[in-house]
Amino acid sequence: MRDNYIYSNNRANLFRCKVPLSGAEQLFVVNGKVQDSDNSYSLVVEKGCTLPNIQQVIYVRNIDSNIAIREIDGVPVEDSRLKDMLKLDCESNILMKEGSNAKLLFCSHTLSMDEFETDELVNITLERDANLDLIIMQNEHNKARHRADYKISLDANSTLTMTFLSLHGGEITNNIEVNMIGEHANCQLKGLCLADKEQSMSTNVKLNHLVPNCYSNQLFKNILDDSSSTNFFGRIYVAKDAQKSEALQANHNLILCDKSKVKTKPQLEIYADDVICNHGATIGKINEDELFYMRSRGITLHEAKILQLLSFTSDITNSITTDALKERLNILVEKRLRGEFSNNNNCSKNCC
Amino acid sequence: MSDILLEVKNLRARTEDKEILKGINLTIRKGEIHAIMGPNGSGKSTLSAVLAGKESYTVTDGEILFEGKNLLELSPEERSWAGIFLGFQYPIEIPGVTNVNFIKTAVNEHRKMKNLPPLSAAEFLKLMRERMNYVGMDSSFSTRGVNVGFSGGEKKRNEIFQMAMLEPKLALLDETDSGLDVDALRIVANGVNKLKRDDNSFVVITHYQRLLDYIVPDVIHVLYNGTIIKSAGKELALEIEERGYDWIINN
Ligand SMILES: Nc1ncnc2c1ncn2[C@@H]1O[C@H](COP(=O)(O)OP(=O)(O)OP(=O)(O)O)[C@@H](O)[C@H]1O
Ligand SMILES: [Mg+2]
Repeated sequence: MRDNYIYSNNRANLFRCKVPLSGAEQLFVVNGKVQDSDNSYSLVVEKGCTLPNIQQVIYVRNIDSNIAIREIDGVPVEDSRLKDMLKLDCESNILMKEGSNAKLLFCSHTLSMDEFETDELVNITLERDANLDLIIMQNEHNKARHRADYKISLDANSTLTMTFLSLHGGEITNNIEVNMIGEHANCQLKGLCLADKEQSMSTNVKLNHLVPNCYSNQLFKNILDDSSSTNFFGRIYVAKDAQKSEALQANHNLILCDKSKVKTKPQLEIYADDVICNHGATIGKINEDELFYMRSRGITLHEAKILQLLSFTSDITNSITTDALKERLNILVEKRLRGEFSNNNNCSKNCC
Repeated sequence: MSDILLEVKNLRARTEDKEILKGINLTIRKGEIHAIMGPNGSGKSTLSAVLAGKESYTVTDGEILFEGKNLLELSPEERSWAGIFLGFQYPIEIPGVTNVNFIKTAVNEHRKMKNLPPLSAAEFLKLMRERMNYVGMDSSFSTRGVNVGFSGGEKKRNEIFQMAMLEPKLALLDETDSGLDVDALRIVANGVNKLKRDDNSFVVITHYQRLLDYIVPDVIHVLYNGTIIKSAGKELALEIEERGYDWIINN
């Protein structure tokens, strides 16, 4: 196992994260570079190895005010260096060799209030019998745009569980392409987008069953408030020879405001004849009967709405397998739903 | 002080399409048990929901006074704090919200209104255990999602459990007996009787006289087509069981 990273539990000058658990290894990736290095993030878990602890990778976008001069006598300065820094193309690589196991938590944050544009490519390869549990938590400010492309390859008997928690961000796009290239591969994708104000969050999935006997299950949920919008595009492709494929997909949307916009588009392309495929999408509002039930017990309207939102999100958050992590992330989701994020300009504070 | 707990005067309520309650008059005194019977669709659930403040019904006429206060001005949660409880005919499932969290939130909201601090974890657990015992509910139910995957009878027990936790002055039990087997019926009825005091009241909506063997009503009302067409003593239930409603309706 490669382990040449410096782990730090506290880079107080940058960011203090409250998510970590005892024993979790923390690693910062600052503007695409692993802390104190010039390299992008790359993890190789060797054959048969198991990462002993959850590894938390904290991607931060930050512009140090010492580097960039922003204004002189109150007048903003057009600094080309600053502009270059705002746009970032970066890459991460995860290679899970045969029979290896790991649990990872990726968090992305924006620490300064600049208009960041991040284009990220994440390559994930699971060799035979490998298991990866990956949680992706995105918490960026309203002026940040983040596009992430996940290119995923799953070989025989491997299992990938991937959970997206898009809590906050101006424009977030997650493009997920999964190629199931070995039989009995198992792919579990879950995602939750919480969008409000003018935020826009998109999830595009291309799930390719290329060989027989693979299983995939997608559950993506969105809550929209104000003038926010979400898009879900989900394509399931089953190749001609990929018999006995099982592919499930669901996208559920809860809209809290008439100004919110939801687009959802499932698409099935199935060329094999002996398969189980199932997809469904719903768009709904707060359920009045449920609210009345709670209120009739003395729970205030405000609290009843929050409980209903938590109920909606629960099948995503409760599927997180590490209890302590589940608890922390549930608290973050609840804080977000209670509107506590909008009190801070700098979204990074919300994880503290 | 008056011993009248609830006074409903000429109450009319409707949905967008149609009028359902067409002039209900009902007086309930402290310590009384009233039963409401009547054919399907006559407005029994609507009456209980309107009393509990469901906003999808519009009250077009009449008054509801609870301990002399105008109930129509209060939201459902304010009515709950005032001491009204509705046991639902069809309890709602809330996945992902555990029974214990749900009832704890409710109990603590009630305490907040009385300027009491929230119960400590230990106090709450003790109370919860005790009240779950009232209705023979296993403690494993506390960590399950509210009513999720509960059988029909378990949902009804859960309603009575919630009632026991909130100790209302007026409990409206809408067909709490339907879907219960004989043993469960006895358990639920015992739960009600345990909570019965001479300063609180119950309205039990039921189709069956057998519940009234266990919870003995002071008055039985027959609701038909949005009005109460007959009120009498507990013998009425037996007569309805034998003869049905036609003879009352046609009278
Ligand atoms: N929200 C609603 N929208 C439309 N119609 C309604 C609504 N609520 C009740 N009704 C109608 O009003 C009538 C009375 O309904 P209600 O549920 O109060 O009857 P009930 O006496 O409780 O019947 P049951 O014994 O079957 O439970 C029925 O015809 C019902 O369809
Ligand atoms: Mg009814």
